[in-house]
Amino acid sequence: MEDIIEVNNISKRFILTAEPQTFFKIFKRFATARCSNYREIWPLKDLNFTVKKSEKIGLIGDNGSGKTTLARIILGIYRQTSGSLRVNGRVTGFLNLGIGMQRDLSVLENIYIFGAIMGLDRTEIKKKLNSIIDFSELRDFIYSPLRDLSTGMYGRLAFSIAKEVDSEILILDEVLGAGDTCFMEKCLGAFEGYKNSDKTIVVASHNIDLVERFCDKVLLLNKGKQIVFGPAKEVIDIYKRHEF
Amino acid sequence: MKLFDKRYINLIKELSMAWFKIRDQRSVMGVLWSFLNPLLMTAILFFLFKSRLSTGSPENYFLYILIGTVTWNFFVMATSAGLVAIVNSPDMVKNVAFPKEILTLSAVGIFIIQHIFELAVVFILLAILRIGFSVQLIFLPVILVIQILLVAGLSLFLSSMCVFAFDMRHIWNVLTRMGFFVVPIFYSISSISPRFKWVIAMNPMSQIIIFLRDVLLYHRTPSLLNMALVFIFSLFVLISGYKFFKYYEDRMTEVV
Repeated sequence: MEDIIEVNNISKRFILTAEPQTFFKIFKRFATARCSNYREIWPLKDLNFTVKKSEKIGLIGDNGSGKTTLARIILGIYRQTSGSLRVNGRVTGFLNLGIGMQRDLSVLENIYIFGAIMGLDRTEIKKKLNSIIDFSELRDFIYSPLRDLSTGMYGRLAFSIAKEVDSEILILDEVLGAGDTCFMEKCLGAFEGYKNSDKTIVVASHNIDLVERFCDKVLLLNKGKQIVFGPAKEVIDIYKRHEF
Repeated sequence: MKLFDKRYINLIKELSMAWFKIRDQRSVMGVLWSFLNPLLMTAILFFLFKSRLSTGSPENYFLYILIGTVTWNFFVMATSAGLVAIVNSPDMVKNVAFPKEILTLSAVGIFIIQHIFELAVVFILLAILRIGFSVQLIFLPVILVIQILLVAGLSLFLSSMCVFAFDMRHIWNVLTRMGFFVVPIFYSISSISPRFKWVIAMNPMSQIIIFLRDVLLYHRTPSLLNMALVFIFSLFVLISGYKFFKYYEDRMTEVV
């Protein structure tokens, strides 16, 4: 199988400034050539792994272990500070679903907006419109403004649109929490459908059961360091026993 | 360039349309307000300065001012909206992989649409006041392109600077307020003393307003040399604004 994501020695540094910057402060710093207070942190340190085509990869670790930062680097939102990354194929990320949706516009209009953000154009969405509305179970609401929807409905809508994206590589970051149990089952159903497809999928999640059920391999991160990358069962055992 | 990808053009279109609709919904009079704003401004300036300018007011003074306010309004509104485009959408910047200048350009895009509507009002008044139209109208698209290049370029500069210096919006607010008086909106450039004339003449916005008046009001061909100079300047602003934006894009994503 061909390598679809190659991560070589990737590290990421953030520079954090203590206070918000203003034009005047920046100007003063230039004028006096003095550095303001800042500190640097390394949310990721020397990661090395390869993902092969159609593999399903889990990304686990405690809060602040660098899961989201890694997802953003693979997606090309952040650029790594050092190391190299190779991604073969179109990659789409589901981070924080529902980004860019407008509260004051109708559900229907938002389907087109969020679709555009996920890389689908009007004609593609028109073709899939029925399946999106049916899946989200929001047919009675398509002309009401988004602000009238509950948080759960909002998540359902976003997931229904996102699942229409047809990329070779999908990166999911903690997005399966939306909706009631019934909708969760439906999401997981759609998700199981992916399991046998040839899509390459990376899932960052705290839901260990889900990761165990769905993923072939798991990457365990702790404080930005790669603890272990290997078969799902073994890595999850290590994580559960806290042997790192 | 990546920006000309079909997906990204679609995204600019959808975002501009969405933001346009929201702005429309939020104000009581909707789009109508955007026509009323320059008209009211023009009316105030007209009655204030009609008989108070030392050199006498220019011919067709109302339309003279209106062309000025419409053009200046477009410049201020579009750059101010472009300025906050990135800082207003931190979620999108941090969670969606796309060229971030799309946000700035979409924000500017709304005002290009609005500017064209406002020009339509100017056209209606030109017809009503029997000033009419001439072949010089062929220069209108060229002038529009110059305006768009300038506004888009400046917005790219401003929106990236605003991420690092949040008081940028206040600074720009003050600068544009001062700019109102450095551009010949309600006075004519010939009434300024020669010592200060160059300050006003060197300003690309002054030149753009002068071109528009030549084309719409006086039915004469604008100075081709000046048009070429302003065009080159605007193109330079756009290219350097884009380079500047791209240089800081990665850092911007982390900071915003």
